Amino acid sequence: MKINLLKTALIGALSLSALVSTSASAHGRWLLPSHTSLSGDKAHYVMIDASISNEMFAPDKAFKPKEKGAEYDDTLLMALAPNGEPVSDTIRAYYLKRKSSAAVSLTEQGTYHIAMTQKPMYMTFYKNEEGKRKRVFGKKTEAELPSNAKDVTTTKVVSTVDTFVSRNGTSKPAQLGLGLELSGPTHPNDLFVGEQARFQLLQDGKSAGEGVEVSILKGDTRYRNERGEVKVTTDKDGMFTITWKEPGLYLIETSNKVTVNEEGVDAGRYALFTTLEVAPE
Amino acid sequence: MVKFKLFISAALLLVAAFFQTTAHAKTPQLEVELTLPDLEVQPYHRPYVAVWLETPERKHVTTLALWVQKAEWFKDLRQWWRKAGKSDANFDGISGATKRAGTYTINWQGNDLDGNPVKPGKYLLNIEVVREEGGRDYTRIELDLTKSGKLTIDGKNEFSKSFVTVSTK
Repeated sequence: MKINLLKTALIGALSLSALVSTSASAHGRWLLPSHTSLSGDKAHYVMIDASISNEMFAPDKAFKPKEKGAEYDDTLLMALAPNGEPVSDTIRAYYLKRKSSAAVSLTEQGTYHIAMTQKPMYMTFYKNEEGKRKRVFGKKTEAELPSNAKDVTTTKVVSTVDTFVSRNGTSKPAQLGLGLELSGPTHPNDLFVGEQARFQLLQDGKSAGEGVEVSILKGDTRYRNERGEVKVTTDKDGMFTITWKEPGLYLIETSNKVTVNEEGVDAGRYALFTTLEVAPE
Repeated sequence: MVKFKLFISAALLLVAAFFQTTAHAKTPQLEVELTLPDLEVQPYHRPYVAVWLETPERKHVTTLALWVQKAEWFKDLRQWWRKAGKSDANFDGISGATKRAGTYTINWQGNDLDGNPVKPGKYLLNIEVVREEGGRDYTRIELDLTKSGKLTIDGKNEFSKSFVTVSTK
């Protein structure tokens, strides 16, 4: 009996780690800002493209609007103004098959934190009659599962897909406070080749702690044979450093397992996809 | 990357060293002789130019010259923008319109933008030139404002061989 129990527990743990690693290899997703630094007296628009794609920063699949067949989605993107408040205008993201595009109006001085609206996503994994692994959206208590589904587990996923844009100067970016996100000391819109950038990885607004692997991938992956991502690991304060060797757009990607104390949820995972721009010296 | 040669006469050095130990308030002065090359390109847009001083820790001290047109493109003077432009400083006294190709002399009398004297010491002189539909040149060199002397700065494309003269009076 005891052995059986242990076995079940072990298998449970194994399948759990299996599903966590499958979801860790999920597709890249990102925001592509037309500008990250703007100057001048007139109000500015910045274009934001959003796509699900492993090719940086060429779009592959758009995030589908919630409403079936809709041409745009007013809930896909949000932006926090320099004062920390969400921008008052609705950000209309047009669905363009491979990407969504939105124009965000910037009127204040300082740094805007632009992100996909964070909605925790629940995924339920199970094995069907033939023992095949299946996935459906929603908690196991809500999802439609076959009556004979086995090994049913629900994972809560919170993805941060964000970027930063500064107008007429930089300010401390407002924090999302949920999921993973980057914080200073280095300002995300003050990155130059040859300089070291130091960031803190935050999880729900606090240090994500030690040992989280962060991948730093330069854009234009289509035009080179090696993917060439750099991997760094956070220290005890959740900090990591990178010295920029080449100018360009970069995707900072990481994910972390989290404990979730929610009815019907077995595992939790946070993911981060932050787009940064590095200037030549 | 950018090579520069130090032309300093031994005599001047000695004089400077002598004055350093005996006098305190010597106002450093700079003369920057900047050459914008005659580029045979079509279309040619006059470049945006910024010349400024920073502390060795790369903090903006003062801007010596700013030749620009529209604020919308200030950000393209990337280094000047991050270190000086985006601040609240008033650059009216040292800014002017963009200039055609030629050699220009920028004189600096030793004061910051508020008219306060800049302490003698080590600084970084920055020159940034950026041209629409063209390139960008950026150079940063160490300057000792306690020693008279003349430095040569080799630009790459957007400015030609230029000179900086430090005089400590």
